[in-house]
Amino acid sequence: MTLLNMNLPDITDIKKTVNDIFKGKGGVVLYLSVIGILMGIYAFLRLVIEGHGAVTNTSSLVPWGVQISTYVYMVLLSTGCTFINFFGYMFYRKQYEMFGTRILFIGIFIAFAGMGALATELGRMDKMIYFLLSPQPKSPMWWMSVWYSIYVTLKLIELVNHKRGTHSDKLLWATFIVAIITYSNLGSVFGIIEQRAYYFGSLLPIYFLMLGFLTGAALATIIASAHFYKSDTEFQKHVQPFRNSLRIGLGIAMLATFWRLLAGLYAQSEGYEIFQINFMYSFFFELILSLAVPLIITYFSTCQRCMIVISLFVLATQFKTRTDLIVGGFKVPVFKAYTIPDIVSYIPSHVEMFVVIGALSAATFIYIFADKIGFFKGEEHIHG
Amino acid sequence: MVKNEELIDIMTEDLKRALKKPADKRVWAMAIDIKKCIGCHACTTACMSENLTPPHIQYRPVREEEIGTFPNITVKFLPRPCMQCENPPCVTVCPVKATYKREDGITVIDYNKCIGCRYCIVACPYGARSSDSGNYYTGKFKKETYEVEASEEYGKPWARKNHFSSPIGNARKCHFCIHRIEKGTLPRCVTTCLSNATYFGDLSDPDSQIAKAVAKVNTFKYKELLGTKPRVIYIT
Amino acid sequence: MSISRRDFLKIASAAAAVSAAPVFKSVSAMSTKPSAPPTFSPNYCELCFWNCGLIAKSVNGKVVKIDGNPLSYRGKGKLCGRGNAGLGLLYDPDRLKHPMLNIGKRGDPKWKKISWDEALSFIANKLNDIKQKYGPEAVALFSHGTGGSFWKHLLKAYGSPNSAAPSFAQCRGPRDVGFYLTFGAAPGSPEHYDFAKSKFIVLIGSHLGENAHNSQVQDLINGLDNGAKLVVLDPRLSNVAAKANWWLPVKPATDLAVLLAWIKIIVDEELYDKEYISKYAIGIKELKEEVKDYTPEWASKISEIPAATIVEIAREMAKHKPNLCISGGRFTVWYGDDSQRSRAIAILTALMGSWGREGGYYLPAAGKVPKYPGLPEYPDTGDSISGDYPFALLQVTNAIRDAAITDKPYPCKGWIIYGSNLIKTMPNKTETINALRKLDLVVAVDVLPTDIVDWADIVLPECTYLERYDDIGTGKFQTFEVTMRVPGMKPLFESKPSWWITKELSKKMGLEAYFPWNDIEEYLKARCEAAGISFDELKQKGALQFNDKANPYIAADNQPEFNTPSEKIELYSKQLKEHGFDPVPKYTAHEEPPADHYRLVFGRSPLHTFSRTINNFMLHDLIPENELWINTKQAAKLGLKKGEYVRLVNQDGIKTDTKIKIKITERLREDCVYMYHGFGVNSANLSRANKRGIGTDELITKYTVDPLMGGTGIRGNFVKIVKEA
Repeated sequence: MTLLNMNLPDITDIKKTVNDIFKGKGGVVLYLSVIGILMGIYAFLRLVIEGHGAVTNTSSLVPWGVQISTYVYMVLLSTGCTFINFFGYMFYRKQYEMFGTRILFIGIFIAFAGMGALATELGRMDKMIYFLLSPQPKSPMWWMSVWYSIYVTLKLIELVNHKRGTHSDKLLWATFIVAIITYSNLGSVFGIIEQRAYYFGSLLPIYFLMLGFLTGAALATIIASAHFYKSDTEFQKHVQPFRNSLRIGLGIAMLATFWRLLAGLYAQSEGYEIFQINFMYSFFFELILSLAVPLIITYFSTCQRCMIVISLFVLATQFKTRTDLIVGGFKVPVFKAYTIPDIVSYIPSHVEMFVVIGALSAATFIYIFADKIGFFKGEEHIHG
Repeated sequence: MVKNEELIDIMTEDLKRALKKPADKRVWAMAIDIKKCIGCHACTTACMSENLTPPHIQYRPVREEEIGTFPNITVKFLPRPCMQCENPPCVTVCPVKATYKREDGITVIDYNKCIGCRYCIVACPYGARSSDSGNYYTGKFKKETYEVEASEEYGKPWARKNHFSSPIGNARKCHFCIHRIEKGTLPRCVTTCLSNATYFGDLSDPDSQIAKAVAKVNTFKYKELLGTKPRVIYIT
Repeated sequence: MSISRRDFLKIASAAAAVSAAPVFKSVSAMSTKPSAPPTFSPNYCELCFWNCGLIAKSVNGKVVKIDGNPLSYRGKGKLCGRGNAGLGLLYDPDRLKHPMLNIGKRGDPKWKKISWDEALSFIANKLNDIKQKYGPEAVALFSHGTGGSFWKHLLKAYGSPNSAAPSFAQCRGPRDVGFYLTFGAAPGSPEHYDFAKSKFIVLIGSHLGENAHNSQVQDLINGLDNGAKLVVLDPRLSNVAAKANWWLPVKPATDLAVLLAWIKIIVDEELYDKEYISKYAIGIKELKEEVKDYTPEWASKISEIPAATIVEIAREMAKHKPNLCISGGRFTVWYGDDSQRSRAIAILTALMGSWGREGGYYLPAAGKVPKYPGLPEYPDTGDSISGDYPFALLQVTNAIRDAAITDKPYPCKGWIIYGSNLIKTMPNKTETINALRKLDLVVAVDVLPTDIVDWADIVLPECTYLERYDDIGTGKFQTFEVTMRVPGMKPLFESKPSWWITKELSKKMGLEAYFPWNDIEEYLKARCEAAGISFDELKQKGALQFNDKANPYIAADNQPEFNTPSEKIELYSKQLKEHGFDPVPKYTAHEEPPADHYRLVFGRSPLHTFSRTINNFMLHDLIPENELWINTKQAAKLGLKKGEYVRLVNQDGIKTDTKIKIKITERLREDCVYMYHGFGVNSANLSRANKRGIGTDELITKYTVDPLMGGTGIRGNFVKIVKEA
């Protein structure tokens, strides 16, 4: 089917896919994502009906919880996809091109899902219009909304181009640069907060970009590895650039994590004790287990399944790391009185978790569905 | 020397004098004499009742700090209202200009605009901001009317009827009892303080009690190194 | 009349402030129905018993805010942390809502909702039965709080002399008795401390400030602001000790040694006010002889306060005489010799000549509001149960408890318990429970389902102070204060004020002649009229001050009167000697904690009044449970961490049901632990407070009775810390 010069799947294919899904032929991941979406809808309804404060465990002490960290995680993932897309086209066009649309596509919907997780974290979703009516250009959060819109728009144009069978390197460059601005800007939302030692500093925007690249590489590796290949040789040929980017991602993430940790440990000012408190965790989990170990494994195990497992592991541990980064900023309260503890703990409520699951599931579902209806067919043709 | 027991009357006169000035010429400030504060927390609950704050939200908690070791030990009580900073970190981060500094120096929150992103809570170095998550003391479903009754913050009625009625979902904080000072009455924490340890008034008026109180003694500002320039001055 | 124009302006501006009318409506508040203009009712606080004046603001028939009444002597326009949280009591969803009959067992109740008529008939029948079987004196009243006055009246009309309050034998009794024996008058409540004008203040174990007794804290801070020096004798650095020039971390149970050493120094060095003593006191020679062995070195060894400091302070005191005030606090039932310790404080006060002097103890203003005119005489009553304690000024609760258990001196069969949580206020809970089990009738009148309510046969829900008129309040201070409580709203649920309950009950008991008024306003009007006060003015202002009969300081034309046998200040007390007691206090050593044990010391949070406020939702939000204070070194020795929960075991092997959080502090000596009392509530219907923290009552199994007046010394219990899940 062609619409506005775009080469889109036929209605019959869509109908067939929907029928297949209802017949139980959708595959486990798809059904799990449907359940996840339903959980997300449930959570959304609870949030709207009962109010944000009533169903979440965030508080004045931990103002931002797992929904914000999911947002950060997903948008960094989206940035990562943009980076991989950019570097793929720039340096590995031949091996990469066949995955271009997929990675572009998932990058967009992950960004949308992330935005959903963010919106539901607002105390008053109904007042979001004030972003337009009453802008504050001094606020990194306001700029985030601006750059975010530009970023998603550019990516959508890029997707339309792909479906029209065209490709513009200029647009590729533009998206890449906007992605850097957008997500370093997101880093600045945290990085400018002088009082929160765990966030503060110019490293944070850069750190965010590095972590974004890592998660993007991991996701792209999964997409590339989950493909059908005639032989291992062919797999190795196609997946090699992804594996390389994953290794680079793990390396730069280790670098940034290490120096952030060290600078934090040396600092004496109020609030920096969080780096001491978190030291064992930061060192063994963040640095060794979630970064160094996968990096080493990529040199020993290179099979198709191994790459998927390693990448999933990286995505999972990075999700945990992202949550701990956001919540870590609140662990040492800035003021103590009455029942405020020395160390604040936070466990997300089930509604918050459902929002997270819903957002992740929505992106997963859309991708699998698009795949099933043949949205990415043109690309496979290139490969075939 | 002014007698401690006469402070409230004199500061009320100061306040009325300041109100005659144009708003941008007033510099509302608070000074807390921690030598006098005895840690009774009267200001805390007075404020809770004045502003009908919900559970876990206090605009003016009192922090206790032990200094020294037994037997050379003392304890200091540090009431913490909003510092009404000259350089408020909360104002610049608000994406929708819901929180802003008035010309008389008080940082306020426009509950109608606040989207509840809580960025200001993250940014405030003093923990002076809270998020109203819509809790009621008297239970979720059986709200006693006084809890949903209009509070008079900012001189407007704010009824916390449900989670679509501000200030539920919004950030909240001390506002020097604007609704009182504009009517010529001192903030509630000042009038209820058993020790008369809190001074309030127009710092730009050299004849005011507060200006005199901070002029001749040792003072400090909370987390002064952050450059927030608080308008709450502690007297030691 | 002492209300100045300025006071009028103050009250007017306070009213204007609270009435801050909405200027314009916000979008989100559009749906609120237009509020009726607010109304303001004066009242006085009942969160503690200082009874500070307040003004309640009501909108649409509900109290929405309370603020201090500038005309109140005890509040001066201010309220403390508890008083400001009055709405947390008024709107507590856990309040008692209707009369209930216990159809289960005492202590394990099953409640049946009944009507007021049924409830009152039940009580009247039971009371009449007891009267027939055992005589009216077999019924006792325990009361604490303003509404108690109607219950006392009812009990007297019924014919029993046994109206008691734990506030005497479990609190300030010894303090009052010690002063009474010396000066023929108690320090009063609120105490007649002239702190604002003091040049030197000595506090013995008083946590003034943490008790947040409003005007007294104001006076103290004003005094300090005027340059008064402060000495605090306390094993713990209390809040007020943080303001002291000298904090003396005295070894617990040895305060008397320091006091006696001070007396010796002052007498030996002739630092006392000679003129004053020769004019007003007797027994200085005998005193000198009696205290001769109490050297500073001796006291230092016992109390662990350096001898030089003891001497220094004695001389400092003398330097500032007579403008100095020595206070022994309010809660004084510590070791069983407490009225003697109080005597020592009184003697010291006398030596400094500060009774009736500026900055010392002022002489209270005279004044009276006569009783309701034309009431019939009360029937003659026999001896009260407390007859065994020769110097008891009021009835002794523990004597009544003993009588219920032993039938001696005569049987006690019915208890009416008004607003006092006996389970927690009386030492050794087992005895209280044994007594409760033996009674024929237990009536509890309360606002909340406190621990004692579970032990009652029948429960009557009283409305809170904000919903009722009450008896006229009077106070003799530097002015004579008359206060009135005016309801700000109708009682919630089926709760009723005590004036109504007692009046209705009197009808069923055939005692209606004692309650001839139709309603409370008629009663109050009649009393006002008898006193020559305008009822309307009092109702409008809430508090009136009369200082025409005030003369606080001794002067040529204002000579003090001492209501002692000798009509002088008795430094040496013959009447004590006649009864076989020490005419001058003697030091006796008290029991020390056994190995691994700490002395249990306790006190108050400025945000709670005993167990009364524990369930108040505003106060609970700030202080939901108590903590166990322990010195840093001891905590390290025991390997305790901040915030960890432990149980306690006392010297009798009683282990606490609940757990308590550790607070590691430098503010406390190593030989004791400290906690706020009133927590550890055991009442499932107090949803917030139930089982939070540990109640001191659980650990106070041992008590030493003061033979002079029956006070129960309860600071002699020792605890061990148990780390377990």
